[in-house]
Amino acid sequence: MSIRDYRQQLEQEVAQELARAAEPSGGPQAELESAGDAGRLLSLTTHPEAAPELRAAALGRVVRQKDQGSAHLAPLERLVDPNEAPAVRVAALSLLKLLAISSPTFPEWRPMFLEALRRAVDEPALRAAALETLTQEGDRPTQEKLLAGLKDPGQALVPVDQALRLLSSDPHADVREVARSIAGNPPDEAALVQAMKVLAGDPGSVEAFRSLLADRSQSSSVRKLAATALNNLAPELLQPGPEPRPGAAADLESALALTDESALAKHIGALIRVRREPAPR
Amino acid sequence: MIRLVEAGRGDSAYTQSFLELLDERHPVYSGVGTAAVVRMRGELLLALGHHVLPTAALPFVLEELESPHEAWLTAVAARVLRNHPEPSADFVAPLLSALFYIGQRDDTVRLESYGGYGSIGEPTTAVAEVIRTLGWLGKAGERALPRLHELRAREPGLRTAARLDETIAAIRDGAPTEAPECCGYARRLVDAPRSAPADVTELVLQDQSGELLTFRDFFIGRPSIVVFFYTRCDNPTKCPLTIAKLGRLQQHLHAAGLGDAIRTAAITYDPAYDLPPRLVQYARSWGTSTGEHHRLLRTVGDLAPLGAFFELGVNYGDSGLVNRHRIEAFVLDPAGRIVQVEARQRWEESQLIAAAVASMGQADGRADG
Amino acid sequence: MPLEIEINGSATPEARYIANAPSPCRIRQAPAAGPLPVTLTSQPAQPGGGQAVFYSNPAAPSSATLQLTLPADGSWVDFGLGGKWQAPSVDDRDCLLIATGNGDTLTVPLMVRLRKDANTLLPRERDRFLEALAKLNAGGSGRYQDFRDIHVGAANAEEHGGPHFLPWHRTLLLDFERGLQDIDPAVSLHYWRFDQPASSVFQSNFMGATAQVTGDPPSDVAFDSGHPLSGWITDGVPGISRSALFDTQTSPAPGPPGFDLLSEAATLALGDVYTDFAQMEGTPHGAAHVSFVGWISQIPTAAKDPLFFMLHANVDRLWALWQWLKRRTDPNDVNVYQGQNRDGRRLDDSTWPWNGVTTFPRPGFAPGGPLKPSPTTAAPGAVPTIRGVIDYQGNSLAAARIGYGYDAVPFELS
Repeated sequence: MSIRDYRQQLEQEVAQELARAAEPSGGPQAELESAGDAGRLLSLTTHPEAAPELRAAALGRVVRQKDQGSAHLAPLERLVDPNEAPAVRVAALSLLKLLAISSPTFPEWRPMFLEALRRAVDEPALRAAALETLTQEGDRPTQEKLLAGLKDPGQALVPVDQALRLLSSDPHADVREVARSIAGNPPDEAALVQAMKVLAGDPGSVEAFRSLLADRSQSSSVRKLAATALNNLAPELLQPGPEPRPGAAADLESALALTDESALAKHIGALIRVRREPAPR
Repeated sequence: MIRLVEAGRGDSAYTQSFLELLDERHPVYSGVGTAAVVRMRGELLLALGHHVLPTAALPFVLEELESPHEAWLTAVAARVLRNHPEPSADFVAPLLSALFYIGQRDDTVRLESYGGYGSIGEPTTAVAEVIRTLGWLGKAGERALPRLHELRAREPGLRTAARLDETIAAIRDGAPTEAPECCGYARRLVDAPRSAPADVTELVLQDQSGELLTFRDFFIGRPSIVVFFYTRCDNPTKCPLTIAKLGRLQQHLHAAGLGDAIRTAAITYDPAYDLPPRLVQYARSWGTSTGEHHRLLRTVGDLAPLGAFFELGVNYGDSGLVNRHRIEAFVLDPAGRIVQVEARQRWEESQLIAAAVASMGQADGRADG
Repeated sequence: MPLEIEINGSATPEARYIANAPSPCRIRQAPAAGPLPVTLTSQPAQPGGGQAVFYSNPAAPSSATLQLTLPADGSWVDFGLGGKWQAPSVDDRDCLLIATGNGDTLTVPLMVRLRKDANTLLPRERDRFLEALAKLNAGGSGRYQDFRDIHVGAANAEEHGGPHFLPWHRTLLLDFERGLQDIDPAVSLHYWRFDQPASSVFQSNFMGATAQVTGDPPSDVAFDSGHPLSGWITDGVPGISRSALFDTQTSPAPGPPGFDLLSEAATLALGDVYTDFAQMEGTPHGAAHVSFVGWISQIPTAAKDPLFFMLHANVDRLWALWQWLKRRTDPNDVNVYQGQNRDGRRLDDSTWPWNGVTTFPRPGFAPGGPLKPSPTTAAPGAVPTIRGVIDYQGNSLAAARIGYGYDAVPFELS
């Protein structure tokens, strides 16, 4: 296509887009479009007879139309309302996350956002998203609740592996001792993997990772993660080895084992290959 | 400690005990999580400042404002500062620093709840408390006016706008004050140069290139300026800023022709994790140079001998990770003796350089220990 | 050798990378008895390779060949060399510049190096990109950390929520891409086209098999054994936390309900002036981010996921495409960029952190140092400004060319 034709094509597409936006559409969007301005859309967000999906969409439209200073207010109200449908609250959280990225006023309403998220943790349909958002914002009270849940299952908000995962992103979340304990006696592999991710920054776990790496009874995922952790903590202990050839195996079990060994060897090879070059002084 | 704090809240008889507990080296912080450290320090500040905030507590309060990271702790510091008998213009810079940094990490807290996140007490935010304290300064806060006007001009939300208007009016209309310059921070010349013992002078260190050397090799023979950091520091106003300032200090040295005469070193609090590749990247990230006379260092073994010699303001959680540290910088004379310490407050490059230069003329050059 | 050619001001192989915009080149003959007519042509070195076109001067239209007469005294003769529309390179040195005159031929291999739709990459292009990306991370101790440190909450005002959003991120991507090119000069920062399904991108052999979730927490993306990114570490923790709120194999990124992710056409249709176009910070940009759960969905953690850079490359491509379509390349035109009266947002303000300014209103730290240089251009300089990245192809001012381009954005305006 020539440059001129390309320009014409794009101009046509833009023109079509502008025309489409000006025309009313049919179907489910019709009700949103007939609501028109932000005030009526806002009413639609709380209309008791409107389906949750429609109310969620109306909320999105409201946010798009509002000015930056107030766009967060409607979704905040929906998020904290315990009587609101989960679908609408989930949409509200997503909209608030979008505004947190793009709105210049976010620093001012961050306190309200965090408060709303802490309340949203109580709603099972929102718990995972709320905890994720809180921990990624570095929320210390949430970290403490998750840690308490790991120490006392009666206080657990989420399964062990999820709590560890949420806490793993912050070295100062103080989950390392608990992670060591869980790694020593994991309830399941998912928990072991997450505990290992926490301990990948713990110099005191080097020997544990060496053992896991050498332990052929462990899954490929666990052994690869052990190699990654060793590469982070004590790279001199990670050496490339010959890559096994699964085709050389005598039976299926051996072939599977060699396949795992082959995968591990490839993984270690990649870790070593992308290491930083030693720096001159 | 909670019982001690409750018993001594607002009682000046407990002031000395509370100040001792604010020393990062206190065993009460050893093996404790970061969150617990934050709570303890915040409750100590609240107890100290319950009625009248003693001047001796100011370095701890102003440190929390200048290098903020936790919204609750910042709110506490701003609140108790208002109980100091005398506003001072020296409070403006730390408060503005708090406004800038905690403004991006603000949160709703309740100062009457233990640790700030319970249900007791009126909700407030760190930014609200800081703005209010700026207003409390009255005329002493004049230097803050340009910044406050600029913030107001950005058309913040209604509540923030109202707080700013109130504070600007309070400063503008405040009574003239002759508040004395205050806050001799913990900048001090040591009473007498402190010599390194043998277990320090022979301590083996490793630099960012992997080279091994002893304390004696690097720190004896020329004066040096030493700072501490760790790569997993999550407070951008502490370690990243320390290393960035070290880089600027190095530029001043080179510009003055002192780049070879005075050495600089940044030593990690976290030697087990901060291996040479991480030291290289950290130096590059935050803008400090390395070379023959300028190194990032880790102890090959335990940090404890250095910790004792420098009396480092750091402690560790049960996981072995730093749970709290202060900003600290040291000047060593050519004999490797500590002759100046700057702690808690952000240090000035020029003052460290001046102290290092002064030590060149005073030291007899002989190594001790 | 009787003929000599310089590309991008140099005879070294490091400079032999061009984008769609014409790179300054010159040619001369060794001093001879008389002038020498030469013909310049370009052809791929192999099928599917890149091809270049010529510009007799910056204002001239491109041509497939160029006839020049080289003075006898060996003086240089200037010409421009740019990528032929829709003929980018796949491999390094797969485009040939051929100069013939008086029976002599000089062939110079080079690369028409463009940012491409990541979903269309050939396996070897994809693998080169991944290898460079992994080496930039270097298991958590590489220079990738600088970019992770730049994009944090404390610096938010420098990066988002204003007219500077687009030029700031353009500068970030340029610095990032140059970091990749320090490792492998044949690599570009390819873009994730989020308004179309990108099934190849979200695979275990590329940016990771990304599970779809509804209300569940995210999981780490899955990589094939030996994949370069399988040792990815940021902040001391292995893995990349990302799940999608849509089926990455069949659907584009949707955005939240009612705040849909805009298509390319709808984005271009936002308006004819910069202030209107810049609304795209909300959608499609923000909408793309929150079409996932995991790191990429929030500012404090977004840059931990390398997909972040490919998302933003598409944001930048959309801006570049809009600039081309609307002919908005002269930074002096307020319809091209309208700033705000705040540091870092005016047209001639320098850009943090590359300016190293650490006094208010900038943060007290500035990770990573000055903007990386490139052997292919001096622009935008070690301390970039907003102005310096707007005319990125040099349409209005040839010297403003900053040395990158997109497969889907031409240089010539018509």
